[in-house]
Amino acid sequence: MKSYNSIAAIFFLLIGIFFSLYARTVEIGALTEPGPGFLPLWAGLTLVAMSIILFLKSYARKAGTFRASFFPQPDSWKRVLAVFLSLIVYNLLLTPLGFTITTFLFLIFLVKFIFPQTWKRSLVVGVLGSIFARLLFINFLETQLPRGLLGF
Amino acid sequence: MKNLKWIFAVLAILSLPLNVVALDFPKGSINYMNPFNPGGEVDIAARAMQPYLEKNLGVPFVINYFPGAGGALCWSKLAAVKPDGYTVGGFSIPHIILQPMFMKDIAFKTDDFVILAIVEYTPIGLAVKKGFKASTVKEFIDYAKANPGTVSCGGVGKFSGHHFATLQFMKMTGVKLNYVTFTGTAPMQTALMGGHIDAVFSNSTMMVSSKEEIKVLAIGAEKRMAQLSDVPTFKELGMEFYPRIARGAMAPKTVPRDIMKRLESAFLDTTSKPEFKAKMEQAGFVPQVWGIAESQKYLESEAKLLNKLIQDFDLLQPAK
Amino acid sequence: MDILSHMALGAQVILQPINLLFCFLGVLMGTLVGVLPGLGPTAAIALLLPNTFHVPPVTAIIMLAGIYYGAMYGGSTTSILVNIPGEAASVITCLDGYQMALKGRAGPALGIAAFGSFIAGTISIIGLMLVAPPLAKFALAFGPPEYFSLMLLGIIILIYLASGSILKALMMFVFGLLISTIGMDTISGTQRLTFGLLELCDGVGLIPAIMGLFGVAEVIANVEQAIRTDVVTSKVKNLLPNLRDWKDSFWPIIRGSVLGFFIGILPGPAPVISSFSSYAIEKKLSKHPEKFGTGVIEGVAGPESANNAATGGAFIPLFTLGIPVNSVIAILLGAFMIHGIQPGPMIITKHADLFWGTVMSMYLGNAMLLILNLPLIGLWVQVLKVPYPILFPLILLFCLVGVYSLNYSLVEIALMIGFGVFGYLARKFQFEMAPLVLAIVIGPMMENNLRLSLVISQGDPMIFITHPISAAFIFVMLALLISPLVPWIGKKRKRLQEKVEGEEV
Repeated sequence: MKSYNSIAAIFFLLIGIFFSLYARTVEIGALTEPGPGFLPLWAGLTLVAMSIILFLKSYARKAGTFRASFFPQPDSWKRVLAVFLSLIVYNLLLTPLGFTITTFLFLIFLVKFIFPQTWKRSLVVGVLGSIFARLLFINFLETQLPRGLLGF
Repeated sequence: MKNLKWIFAVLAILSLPLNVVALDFPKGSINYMNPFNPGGEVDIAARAMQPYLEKNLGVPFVINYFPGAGGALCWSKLAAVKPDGYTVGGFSIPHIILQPMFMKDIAFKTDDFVILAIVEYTPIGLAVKKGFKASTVKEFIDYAKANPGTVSCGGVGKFSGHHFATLQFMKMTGVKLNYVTFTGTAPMQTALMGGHIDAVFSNSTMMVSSKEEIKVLAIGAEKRMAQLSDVPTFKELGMEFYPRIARGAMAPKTVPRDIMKRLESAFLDTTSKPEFKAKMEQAGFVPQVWGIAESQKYLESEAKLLNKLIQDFDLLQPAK
Repeated sequence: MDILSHMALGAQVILQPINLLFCFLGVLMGTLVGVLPGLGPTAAIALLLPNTFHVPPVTAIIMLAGIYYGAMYGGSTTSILVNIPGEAASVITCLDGYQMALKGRAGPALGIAAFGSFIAGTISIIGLMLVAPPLAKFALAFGPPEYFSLMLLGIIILIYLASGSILKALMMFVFGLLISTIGMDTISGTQRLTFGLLELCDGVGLIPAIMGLFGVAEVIANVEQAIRTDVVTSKVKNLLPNLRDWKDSFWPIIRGSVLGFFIGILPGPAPVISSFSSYAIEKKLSKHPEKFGTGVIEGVAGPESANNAATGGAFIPLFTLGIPVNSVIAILLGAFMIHGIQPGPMIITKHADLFWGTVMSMYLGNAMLLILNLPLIGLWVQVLKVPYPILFPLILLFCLVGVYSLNYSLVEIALMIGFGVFGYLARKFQFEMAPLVLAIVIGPMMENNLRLSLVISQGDPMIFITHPISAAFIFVMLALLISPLVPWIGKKRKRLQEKVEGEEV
């Protein structure tokens, strides 16, 4: 817990510094007319102060360092990364391939590869899922989801 | 020789009707991009027009919402749509003039569009809270002169119709007001009704809906509005001051001319209907029957006026 | 005029078949849309608005109102089942509702949410009937300084919410404030940190943030574990709350309803604020505050009632002053105008049938919601039985579509993914998400009101004290701040924190 807090403290410290510096590029304004930089500056400085306190506190503890491992299982990181990547790829493919196809690929990939299921299951979920989603969102709710190069 | 010329002339004239008849538009539904949220002024006007437009054009008139960045999001998209006449958009003047001037990273310019019609405008009026020391414009000016910078005057947004109305008023009368920027009409209405600010420059529609709770001093219309029958116009008080926000429909400028004319005629037909006018007036709008030419003239004169104010008040600072 | 005769008038209005039909349609549509994360009442109303032009105004208003509170209710379903809030107001329901689901008590959670919402709705309608005009005057007394002080009080509420370290909760709050500054500053027109993206002009969207922090992050956190031996293998018995649940929930529901109703009158994101406040109050009043966050029914009953009551309260300014307090009511206002009804103080008297018809339809609508949703509880609970390896891709899909359908923006999907990463890491590092969400929601309001107050007072910070209501809030805030310093309360907190974090304060 200790070292987690110190890492987090550094992260927030950087954020606070970033915003405080940024605030100076836009008008801070005076008390009579606070400008756009007013809140970012003060909130940023507050965050810096709090991060420093957190950092100090995490060192004040005398107890033995207990750092739980970050991932519960050795292969966790693969799954986590895979899911994130699949989301990013979905975002990228959505416009060129269109909603239905991208959804289909997305579902199949996740079902098959994260917690390995049989191909049959993956395909069933993929097909049913993307068709149902298409009907629900595009036809029934009339949301304007991309049609992609193939037109559907 | 002369005969040939005549024959050509006659043939040319005779073929004109054929050109007009050959216009194969519209064949499918027309999309209307609303740059603001449902329920707003643009939406109300659009919905009021919808049934008449559909009757005139013979196709569905579909209203879609693309709010964001005070309208800029929608207009940026509109500037890039296929110019086949099937997509038009709502607008507000002065927003479409001011935004390209003041906003960075904006993807449209005022002259990317041609205004098909201005269907209504909301004159901007001056109102004060109940119990304020002034109850006429003259008293207001006197009071403000005696207490420069202390009279708080609200408006929606910076670099908006309300803001510029305030600036113009200050220039014309030589008073110094404390402009308070609100994010929307509702909080401003509450603040005025609750007495937290002294005055506002705001749309006629707001004046009409709150008239019991506030005192409307004057309105920037050509003549008195039926809904605000005891409110003088600025003109009556000797001020050539007609601040307003005008709204209507526009299309990307590369749409073919004849398609534009067809759309224009649909809008003009709609706005000249008495029932439409009556509905608009009841809510506090001033209906307008302006087509492409008049709208263009209005746009240009407004742009000139705004530019002058910007110079006078030195508003155009180096881009942040 | 007599209240009873008004009610009779209203009843006459709603018992016409067409009004009954549209009420049902509205409630149904609202619930459906509310269940789908991301799509909120605004989307549903925009969708159905065209259909309202061919019917009389009363019918239109009845349907639109039905959509509104239907959506409020639908949002809590996903919060409880899969820890994804349907909209911001349902974020709090996730805290204990989802935990209850994990323990096999999804049924009672959903049930109490339904009943609580119904009771709250009823109470707020009674309030609407009885005290509408005087309450409206009260709302008018709130100006920028009062709002700012109220928001400050919100920070204190936040402190009570934190089960872990106060410092870390505050840090998340301040971080949220900073995030809320991204976008075009409405007061000055300057772009702040928008990096040239028009989509960021209106700020970081709340929905992408919520979807990311709660939806994506939750899924990723679950995926980390090896096979999820499922969540709810324990037989889901008892689909309805039992007697014990009712006993525990009774006062939270009452308190939540009253609280939500009053907060609903004030402009702003009332359902969110009321649900957060209700949770904080219940926690403070509870005999076992350390159990909050592990699946106590009070943590669902109170907030759910509060956010439903807020929707009732929100109608008051509309009917008495013609002022919309949020975007959904603004649409209703527009609908009034399109139908030629003049909004303003005269609505109740000039269009009595409209007002009373709407009021009575709310009773009806709430009842319909209850009847509609109770049988559905059994159905929803089945969703939990879907094996997680198949369920989670579908959850992610809903998040993606939900975000995209708002503004058709890939940027917002990217934002959601970003928040997902952050949310995942935040869980790891033991930082809480609720303060962040609260800050994103009230940040803009806080900043605006602070600046407006200073502009009005020409730079004089004393304006917050010279205005009586604002001064009252500040006084309460200071009082609450001091109380943790009183020794025995402080000890209680310490024990609470230690339980939660294991070793550190």
